[in-house]
Amino acid sequence: MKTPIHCSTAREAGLIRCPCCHSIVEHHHSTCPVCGSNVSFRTKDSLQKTLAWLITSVILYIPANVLPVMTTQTLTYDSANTIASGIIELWTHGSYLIASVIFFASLIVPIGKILILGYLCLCIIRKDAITLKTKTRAFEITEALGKWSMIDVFVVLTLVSLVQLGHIASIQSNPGILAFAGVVIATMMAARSFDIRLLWDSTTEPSIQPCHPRKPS
Amino acid sequence: MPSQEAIVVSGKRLSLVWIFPVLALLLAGWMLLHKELQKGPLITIHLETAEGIIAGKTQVQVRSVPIGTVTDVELGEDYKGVIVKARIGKAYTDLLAEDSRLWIVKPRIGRGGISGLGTILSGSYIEFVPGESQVHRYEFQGMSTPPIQNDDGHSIVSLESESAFTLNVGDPVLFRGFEAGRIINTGFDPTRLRFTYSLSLQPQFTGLITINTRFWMTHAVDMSLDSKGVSLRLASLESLLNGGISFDILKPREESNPVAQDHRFKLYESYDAMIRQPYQFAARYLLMFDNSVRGLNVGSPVEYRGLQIGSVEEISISYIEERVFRPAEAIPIPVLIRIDPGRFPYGDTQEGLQKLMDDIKLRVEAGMRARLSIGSLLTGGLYIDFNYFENADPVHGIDKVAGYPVIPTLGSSAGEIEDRVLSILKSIDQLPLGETFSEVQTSLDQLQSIGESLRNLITGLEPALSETATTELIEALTRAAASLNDSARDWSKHAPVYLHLNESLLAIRNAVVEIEALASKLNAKPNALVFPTSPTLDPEPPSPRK
Repeated sequence: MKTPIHCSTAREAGLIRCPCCHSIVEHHHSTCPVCGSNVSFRTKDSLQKTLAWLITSVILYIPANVLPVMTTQTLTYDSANTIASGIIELWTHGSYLIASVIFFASLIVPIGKILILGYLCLCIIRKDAITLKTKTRAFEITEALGKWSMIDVFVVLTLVSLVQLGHIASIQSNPGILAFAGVVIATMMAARSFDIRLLWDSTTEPSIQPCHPRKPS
Repeated sequence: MPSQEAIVVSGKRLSLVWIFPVLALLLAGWMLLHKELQKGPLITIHLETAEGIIAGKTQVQVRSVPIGTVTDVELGEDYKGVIVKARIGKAYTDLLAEDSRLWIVKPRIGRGGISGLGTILSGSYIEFVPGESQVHRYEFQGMSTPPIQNDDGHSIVSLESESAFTLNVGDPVLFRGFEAGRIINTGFDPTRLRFTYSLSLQPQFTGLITINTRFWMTHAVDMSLDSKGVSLRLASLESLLNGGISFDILKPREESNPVAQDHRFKLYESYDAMIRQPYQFAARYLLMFDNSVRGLNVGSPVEYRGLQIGSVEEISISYIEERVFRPAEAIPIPVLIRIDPGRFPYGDTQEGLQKLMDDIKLRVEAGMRARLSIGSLLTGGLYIDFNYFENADPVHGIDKVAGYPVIPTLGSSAGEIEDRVLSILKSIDQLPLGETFSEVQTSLDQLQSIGESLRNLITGLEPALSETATTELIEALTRAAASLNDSARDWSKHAPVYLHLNESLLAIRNAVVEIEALASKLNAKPNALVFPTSPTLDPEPPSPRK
């Protein structure tokens, strides 16, 4: 314990990081002595859970994009828009900024998130060893951006609650937005249940920098 | 060194989290399936133009309730017409009857009101009127103009006339003086050379528009002089200023069929013109008259025993065929008349017309003849009178001249009346009035001379009285009284002079009474000199109602 150990991961050194208070706990503890959280080398069934949430999000992604998310009723017309048709409409009306934001938040982010997480899961299963650093960075970006996908849901909710002017103009939400919210939640859950430490296990080759202190808390 | 730690091997068990993908699958599947199930049938509408129709926006409405949305607009085959596809809500599939009608609703503004105002902002929509057929269909032919029943519940009626009247959009349409609608459009149809008018009638008058309905111009002041005398008709104040159209039902009690949608009513020039010829079908006959037809006009009535059955349509020498046109003979005057089957129980139809013509043929063979009669002594107007005459020459079948059947005629009753009146005047002239008057004069002269001799007597008596020879005087007086008595006997009741005078006065009185009776009879029935009058029944008071 006191001697420096040449090892590639904390697991090999018999150390666990508490997910709550980030304390380094020895492996014989089942709970963190500092904060009392459950500790383990790897989150239980992490891969399975991530995959389950990923599949959920992929399934929900279909109705989220096929069904209309919002119905706009004005004096002159009434139209039901899906996410894609809404973006196209905004773009043709010249609202390039809003169109880009919604395009990015509603289309790119969820798809990117699903793809990245899926790729990471695939890596763990196939024990592929590609640059660990890249994978970790990708995961961090994914997690950071994930919540912004909800912007579309917020837009719809805000519009629905604000624009209720009777005959002149009113906006109604459609089942599509429910599915889309489901997609966002599922991807967030997938990212949350993904244990990044699993990535480290897949590296079979010895670490270049042994016992690199990742989080010297 | 044997490990003291238990080797933990995670079992191949499924986490509970897998329930989410299953739930998601069920949810997504249900959502998509639900949307697919909600989708109604796609209908195809053929239209002339897709003016105002936008795919994805334009709605299909039934009584202003959207039942579907246009999904696609494209040109038809060979680029004539437009094909519009619309998705109809699943709940409304039952409405897609075979005989449904569709048209595009656009805003229309007129003096009579504004319709389809909502479409100014919302854009056009397709009005769908479900039919009643049980057979469903997904392909429809759209109508270019709204049908009679337009969106406001007002009915649209089309009229046409040969000459233009001073009518403007917004002028009133009256039913017995009550405003029932407005003129919403006026136009001209160059192919048929007719002026056209469209009326919008309030919904409650829709039921009155049948084949029995007639429309005519409301004239402010309508005065006419014809064989019936002078008639004057005044209309409402507004039509006095504006003019307008009136309509009424020809036979209110009769059930009649509703008109076809593109039916165009004839707009009559006046009420009288309508009454004269309110019927569509007419049996046309030629009448050849040997006497003058002066006083007979186009439109003069054709009557059977005083009941109008038709009217004079044309009086023209051109109907005479060349072979009849011989210089040695007097030319008969051809008069074209029309007899309306609509006035008979036959009905105003083609079959009714045929029945009427067969009937007239039989009646002519039975002795029915036409002749001219005086309608009004005031205007000298003539009419044509049909009646049976025993002395008529028998005929078999009906000849045709210039394509028209000819009904044989008799000499004018007008001429006969003239002769009768003349003979009456002559006999009045021949009454011994002159002699009677001279006899009266003589009698009066005699009376005067008696009075004079009486005065002489009295003057002669005066000296006798003064002489106081009373006895002589009394005797003379007695003699004078006796002679006076004698002369008075001459003037007594049984005297010849008195009887003569009395006879003459009675003859004059009888003559005057007879002339008076004749005159009143002629007044009541101009043809009384020819036809026997049937005694009219005493009017009976109506039985009291229960």
